Amino acid sequence: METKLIENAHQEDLDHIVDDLFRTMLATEVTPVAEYLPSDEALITAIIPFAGPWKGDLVLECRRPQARYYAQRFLQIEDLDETSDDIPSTLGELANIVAGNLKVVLPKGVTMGTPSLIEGKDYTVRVCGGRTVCCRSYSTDVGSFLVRLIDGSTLVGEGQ
Amino acid sequence: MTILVVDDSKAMRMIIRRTMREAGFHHKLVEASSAAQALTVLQSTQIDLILSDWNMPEMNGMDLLVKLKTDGHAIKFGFVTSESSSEMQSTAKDAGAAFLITKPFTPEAFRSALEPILGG
Repeated sequence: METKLIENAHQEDLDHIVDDLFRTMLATEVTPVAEYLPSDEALITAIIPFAGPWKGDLVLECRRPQARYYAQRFLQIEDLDETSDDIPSTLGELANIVAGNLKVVLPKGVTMGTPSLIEGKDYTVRVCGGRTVCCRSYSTDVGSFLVRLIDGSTLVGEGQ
Repeated sequence: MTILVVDDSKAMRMIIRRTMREAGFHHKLVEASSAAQALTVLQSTQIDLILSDWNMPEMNGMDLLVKLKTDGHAIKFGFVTSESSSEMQSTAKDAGAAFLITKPFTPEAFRSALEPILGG
């Protein structure tokens, strides 16, 4: 039987996980902000799928220059080449850590997939039948990033 | 002593390498980007400790640990993973893992987990 998440039920968990991750591994303070990413700029999106009794996705995205800054701090490399594979790899790993820590508070038996990465301009990530249950931007001294939790479950008898 | 780091994320392999140094462990490290590659490395290199991610495509870290035990390897094995439910902790322990380090981690977490195996 599938479970459906209540809107914002895990926002505090996500806030705590994101804060701990950036403070511990990037030595960076994060502050929740009301700011959304423009789709006409070069973005990177990392998506971690969840399956099992609850289905959904954890999405972490930011502008390309911010992803480079985060990679430089994560890897402690001062001047990472703008085209380095380490940039998307870092974003995927950051999303993986957030998702892995969140999994502990998700319904028992949920399993987690590996990161998928999207790079480019003018795209939108949608999950078929999905409903965003948590969505928050976080600012840092080098720009902001967005974390979304999408519920991809379908309730039995839900208007179909 | 040689340590094998198994993680499909190149970024994480780099972080583990750096954290090992920061924690004061300057052992020889070799890397594998998958469990299958780790098994290939083991055929040609004497490995004393494996630090493995859990969540990897195709063959995950737990599959790797079970395979090693089934094949009779006695290599020390620990997980470095973002997932750390009590269920996973006990599953890892029951399967023979020496420790489970949770991401995000600090050099202190590595020292605490590895000192009993590698010494101070």
